[in-house]
Amino acid sequence: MTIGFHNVIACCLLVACSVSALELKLGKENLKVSNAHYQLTFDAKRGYALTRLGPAGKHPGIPVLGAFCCAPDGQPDKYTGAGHAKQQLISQNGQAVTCTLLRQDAASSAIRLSWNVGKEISISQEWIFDDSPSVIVHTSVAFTRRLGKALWRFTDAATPANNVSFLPDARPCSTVLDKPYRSATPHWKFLRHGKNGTGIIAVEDGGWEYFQYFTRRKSPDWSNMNRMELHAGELPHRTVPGKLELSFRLVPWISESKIRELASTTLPSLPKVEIVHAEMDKVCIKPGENNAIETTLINNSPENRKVDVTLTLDWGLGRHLSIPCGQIQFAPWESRQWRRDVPNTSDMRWGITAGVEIRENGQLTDRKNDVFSCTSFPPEAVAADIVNAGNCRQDGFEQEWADYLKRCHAGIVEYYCWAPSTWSPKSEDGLAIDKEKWEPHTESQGAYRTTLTRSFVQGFVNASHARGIRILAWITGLVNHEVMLEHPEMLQYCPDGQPSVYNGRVYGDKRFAVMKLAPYTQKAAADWGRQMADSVDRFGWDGCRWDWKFLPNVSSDPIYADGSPVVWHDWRGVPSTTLYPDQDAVGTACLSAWRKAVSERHPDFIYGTNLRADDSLSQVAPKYIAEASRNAYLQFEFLLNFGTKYPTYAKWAGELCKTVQRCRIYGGQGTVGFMKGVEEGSVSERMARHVCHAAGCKWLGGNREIRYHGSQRNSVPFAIRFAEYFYSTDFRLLPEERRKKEVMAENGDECFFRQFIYERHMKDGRQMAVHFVNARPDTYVTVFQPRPEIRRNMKVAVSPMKDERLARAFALLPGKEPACIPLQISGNMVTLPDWEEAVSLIVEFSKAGK
Amino acid sequence: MKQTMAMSKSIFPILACVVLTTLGAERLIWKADFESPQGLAAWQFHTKNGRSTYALKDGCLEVGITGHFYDDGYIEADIPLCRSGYLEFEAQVNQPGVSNPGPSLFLEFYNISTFWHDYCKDWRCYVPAPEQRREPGFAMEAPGHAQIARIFPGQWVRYRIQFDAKTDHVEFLAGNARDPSLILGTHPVLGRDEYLGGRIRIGSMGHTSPYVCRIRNLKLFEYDEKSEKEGKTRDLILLFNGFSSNLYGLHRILPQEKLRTYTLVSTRAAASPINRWKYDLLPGRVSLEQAAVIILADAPAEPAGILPEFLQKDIERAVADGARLVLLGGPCALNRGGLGGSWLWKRLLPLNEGAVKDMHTFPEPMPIQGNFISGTEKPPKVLTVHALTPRENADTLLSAGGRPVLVSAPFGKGTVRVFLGTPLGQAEGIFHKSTFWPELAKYIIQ
Repeated sequence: MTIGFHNVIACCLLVACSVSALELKLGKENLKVSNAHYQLTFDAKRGYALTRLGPAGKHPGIPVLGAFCCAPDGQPDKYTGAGHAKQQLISQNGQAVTCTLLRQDAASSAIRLSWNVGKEISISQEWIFDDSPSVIVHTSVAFTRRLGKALWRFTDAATPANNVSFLPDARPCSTVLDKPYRSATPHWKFLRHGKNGTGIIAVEDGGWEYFQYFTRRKSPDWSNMNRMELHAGELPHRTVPGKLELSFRLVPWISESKIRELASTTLPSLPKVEIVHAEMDKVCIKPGENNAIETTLINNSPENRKVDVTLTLDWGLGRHLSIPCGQIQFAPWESRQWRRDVPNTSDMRWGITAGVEIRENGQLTDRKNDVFSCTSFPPEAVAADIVNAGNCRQDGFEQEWADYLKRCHAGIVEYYCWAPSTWSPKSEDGLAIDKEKWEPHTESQGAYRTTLTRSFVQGFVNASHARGIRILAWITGLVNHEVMLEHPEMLQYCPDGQPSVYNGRVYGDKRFAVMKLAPYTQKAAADWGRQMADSVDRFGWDGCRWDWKFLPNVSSDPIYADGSPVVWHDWRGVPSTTLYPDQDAVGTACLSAWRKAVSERHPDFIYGTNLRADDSLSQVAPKYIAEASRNAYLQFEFLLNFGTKYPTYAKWAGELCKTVQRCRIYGGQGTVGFMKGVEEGSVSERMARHVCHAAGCKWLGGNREIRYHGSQRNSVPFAIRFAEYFYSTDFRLLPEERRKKEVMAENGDECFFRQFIYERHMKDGRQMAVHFVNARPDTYVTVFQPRPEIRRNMKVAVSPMKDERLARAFALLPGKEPACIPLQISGNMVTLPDWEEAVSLIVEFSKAGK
Repeated sequence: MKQTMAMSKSIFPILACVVLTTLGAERLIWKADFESPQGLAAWQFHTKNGRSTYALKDGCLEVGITGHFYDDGYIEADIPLCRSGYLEFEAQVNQPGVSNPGPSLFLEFYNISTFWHDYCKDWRCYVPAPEQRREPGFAMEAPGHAQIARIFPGQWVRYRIQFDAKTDHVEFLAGNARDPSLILGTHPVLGRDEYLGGRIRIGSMGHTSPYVCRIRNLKLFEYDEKSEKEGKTRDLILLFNGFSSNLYGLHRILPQEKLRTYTLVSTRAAASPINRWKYDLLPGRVSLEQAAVIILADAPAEPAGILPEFLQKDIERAVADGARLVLLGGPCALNRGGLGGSWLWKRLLPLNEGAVKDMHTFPEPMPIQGNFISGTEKPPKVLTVHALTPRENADTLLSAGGRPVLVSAPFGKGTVRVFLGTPLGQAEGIFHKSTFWPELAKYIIQ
């Protein structure tokens, strides 16, 4: 027991509002504890997990499940070609847990729960009860292997998720299916249902990193479970063997005012007035379009307070605007929303940071910020994500889904999959389905069955637009079973004469199977394009993302499992190689016809596609690559193998850079994502994200919310804010010879930058971008990596051309707030500020004499 | 023909006949004693210190699995030698939350070897691997795995392994399935045990995280073929739900209580134009011996031998014994389904073999004609048919556009019928969407 813990107990005693006998009964079946405030039941058969709680008295309480869970880290220590093992969360519920009574008297009682997870993890948990409304829970975890996760999970399945609010954020906590809402600790969270609720207070230095709240919604009413979790952070990087000390307080069945009071007395370190969050209305705007910032501010004190508010804007290299916005007055404990239009000046392009600052008596007391993009071509400046209609489909939750995606900073969302068939003779039976309800019937039906409604899809698209998110409809180029049987002449066939079936599944008496289409005439392609235009009219898509291609002789499988040109047959049995001997010409003509048919009616339509723009395809289909890349949003799925094909950062980055450069000259913007083999949130993944951005490519999906401490190491805001220097198509990778000569870095072998040196020519000179990632290039990506050492005072020398001088230099730093720092120039040398995971150096050369 | 028509007017009586069956009574010949404290005295332990442990608790054998990969020990017991019978048991394999899963428990008897694969959460058996996986210089196949059934960790599941040394058949059943998930049709059941005596082995393949698997109610039964043979009625309908079978909708037409279905499913995404399919179940010995009708509704036999030759031979035996075999056309039927040159076609089908691409599409939908349909106001139509011709001994019962649509021929005590129409195409009055279809289907099948 630590000294700090005694302080917490003292605080508890201070707020005890009544004195009543504390009762603790430890029986064979369960442990029951009650006092004047609560009653708790711990079930012996379920590892002494907390299974019921309620107020004191005769109230039956509600069924809950409160249990500690942990998972060993799955990252391998050596390269084997395999990725990380999936973390298996092992809950206290179900383990052989021993309950020991430590002490029992009228004032205070304590128990100890202890159990082992295998031979490598042993857990001891003390619960301290007294006559106050809260219970102290202290957990010690001793481990001899790396941990991946440790959390305390509280599940309330008795309270409809729709009737819950989550304090003190003071806004609805409604979340979408399994998508968490996170906030940093130390803090407190209160799950409110009606007048009462359950609170969790993560005490200061309690060892936790963030809260996580989510609902698991199931049809038909989409509301059946609330879950709060306290997570310990950065576990894989703790010393092994090691020990973890985690403390929190549970406040069962308490009113909102009481828990506020309790929190204020036990957490004195909370700022008096705090900005809970600051969020832009829109993730991405067009030049000239309005945007606004909205914040929630809370007075965490029992006094009246007033603060001065300032709005700040940062864009480009060191461009800054500071706008005083007046004063806000607060009553005790008051929370207020505050919003302000954000000016959009003509030179605000690419990524912009908007910040809100509050000052009390001239002293800066809090600052929160958000980033957004301003562009006429969103694929170049925003982060991208993907959602599946199997999850994203709940009528009535259109706004929540858009909110969640906005929290993840997704400026482009691929919505997969949504149509009953991606081809049909009539668009109203396919891409522009004219029904209120249908079953999406494409590739994913191999995994699950789902339904979609028109009102949801349209509502979701509209809600996303209101938040500046562009929705791209996913198109697989696969035809559903029923349509196929009616139009067998439109399909690809196997050599044995069977229709070539990609995958499918049988649900009850309905067969879902998807087959590969063969629409390789310009007329068929143009008709199909017009159907896409119909679909845009009906649903409001901003574009599409093909997971298929218009090349007649290659497989429609995006991962090229067989690695060779595929020969299929048509309905009559003629091989595709005979039908289409020049696949590049046919594919280019068909794709061009398709794109033209859509863009004639929707000029801003964003064309997206999965494209294997590698050496082999560029040799057989160079025209097709050019047509597919033309101002397009591209997915390089062929680059997602960290296991064997691209095991090191250097190998992956080399191929990434080559592919990006190949498509960039046509205006294509690339993404990779959902990389196989790396653990989400690990150093390996974070470094891989930085490598990806440095290569000029976006990381698709898996963008975590940024409202918790982990966001300090979140690369997404960094890539958005400085998108111009990562993704602008006028930046070109220097040839290898020049990269070797023109930039020299002190101890440069210890980090990865040589691959990422770009330049662009400007009116009066030249700009060079050098991206540094703090990992050795030959590091195996999937292998466990410790946190990198901070690099201090790193000197970098650059080589101006003849008649050039080094005019300006900036360091771009990731972090909770991406920063652009002007650098002192000494000759042709600059010194980078301290950096941990990544930094970008931007230098400007001007013509000598200018 | 008249007789058939008369039957169609009735309430669709299933073809029923009385046959002498080899199905006899079963007899318990061995049971593992997991109840008494000395129950393991009959077992020999082949597990060194620190390797897998074996203990009895609450009527279960608890197998403690340790981290010695492929060297974690086993126990072994003598069992009676039996040529035809089944081994039955229940097992609880793996526990939710065990990390780094891999192969774990195994159970072998005679020459039959099965194991549980935690990573894939399935039950598997060893089979010879394909020829191309032979080691250089060896003429024998390396062992390969065959997936039998999906298993959910931590749940008690009932298993049954039926075997017949005469036919070299081994059938694997999991849960409450009435038919096997996997049949080995040419497996030497007894192997060396035929000469050395019967043995059963239970053991562990090792695992990174030690945990416990459980087995109970382990029993060996023998089919008593000497017992009095009794009259059995063939009254089951075995329906192979092939690719377009949902358009035929036979599951809605046929009596549910007599219906057993075997559904064509995709095993995984097929990037190349080679379909990756299997049937979710296959009819076992019991089902085939009780089958009155076996329907292959657009059901392929290939690729990958999903309707293996031994099963085709079993079907032949059933038809010879009085069952009716019905094939329904479609994009994956007959030649396109890999039946061309197959045992089934050569021996049973009343059709001359044709080209692989045997489809013929009429310029417009053609009415189906025949005695059964004559007088129907709106005869059902067909747009695409298999362009095949009947053998000499076959009757053409229905036709369309001058091409045969329903061909029938006797085989042994049974009959074989092939419906050459397909549900392909979009046309008004197409047969499978017509109101007449249920009646027509019954006519074809019964």
